[in-house]
Amino acid sequence: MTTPITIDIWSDIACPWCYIGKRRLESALETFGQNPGNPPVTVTYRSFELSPDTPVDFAGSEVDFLVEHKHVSPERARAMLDQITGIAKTVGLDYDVDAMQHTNTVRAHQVLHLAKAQGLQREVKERLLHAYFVEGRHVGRIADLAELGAEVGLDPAEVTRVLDADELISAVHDDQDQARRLGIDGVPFHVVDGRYGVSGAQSPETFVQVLEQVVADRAGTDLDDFDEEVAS
Amino acid sequence: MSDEPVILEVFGDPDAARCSDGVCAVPGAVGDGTAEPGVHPDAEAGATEADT
Repeated sequence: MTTPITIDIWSDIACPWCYIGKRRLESALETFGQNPGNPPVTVTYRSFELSPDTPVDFAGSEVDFLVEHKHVSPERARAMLDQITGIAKTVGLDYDVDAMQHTNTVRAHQVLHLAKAQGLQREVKERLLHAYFVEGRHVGRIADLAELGAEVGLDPAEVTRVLDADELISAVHDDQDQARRLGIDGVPFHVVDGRYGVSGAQSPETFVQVLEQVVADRAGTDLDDFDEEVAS
Repeated sequence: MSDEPVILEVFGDPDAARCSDGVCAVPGAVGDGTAEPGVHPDAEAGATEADT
């Protein structure tokens, strides 16, 4: 059996580019998978908290958060969010900035680790991102996370128990420690087959080219043209 | 990914299409390849390109 190509993605829930990047990568994987000779690809989400100091119940909007915590002017914060909302639309995502409930995401990351152990990480990641950006659901409180997890197959009692005990906090910290060792200071960041990094929500074409580079490496060939065009 | 990866090469502008420290890059900001001179997402905070 062909060894799958691994993609490890450091990302956060409260990260507009991470959801956009997820869609772009999904598009790339669809294209890559159309060649039956290509190996399968396995995706694993790793934890990265962009603002670990955020309270669970932040009283304010996304704009308020940027103004109060990141010292961006209200006008600039609104412009940034409007721009990213427009980019999200290009990949079919309808962000509702005014409905978003900014929160601490460390519990959401623990739920993703629980889901990973049960083979449900992809479903839970999508559910949490959609809940946060599109539906304006709260993704920081235990009760809300139990409910969201249950919607995609997790046992809500188990989610509650794990979060009450912070049982998977070390897994979150391990991911973040590894990110630091790799020099990752922003997300999304993708590590493809343990050897190529892709920083940011790059185009589907870039992801496909990196995957093809891995295939070429495995075949012992060299894509000189690819190196010239993409590695910059 | 059982072993610690060794990243040989990073693709993509490291300052584009990503979020760092709670602030997200947007088109037109320095570092995303489409910059207009003097534009930076943290401009009001006094940041410069060298700060990123």
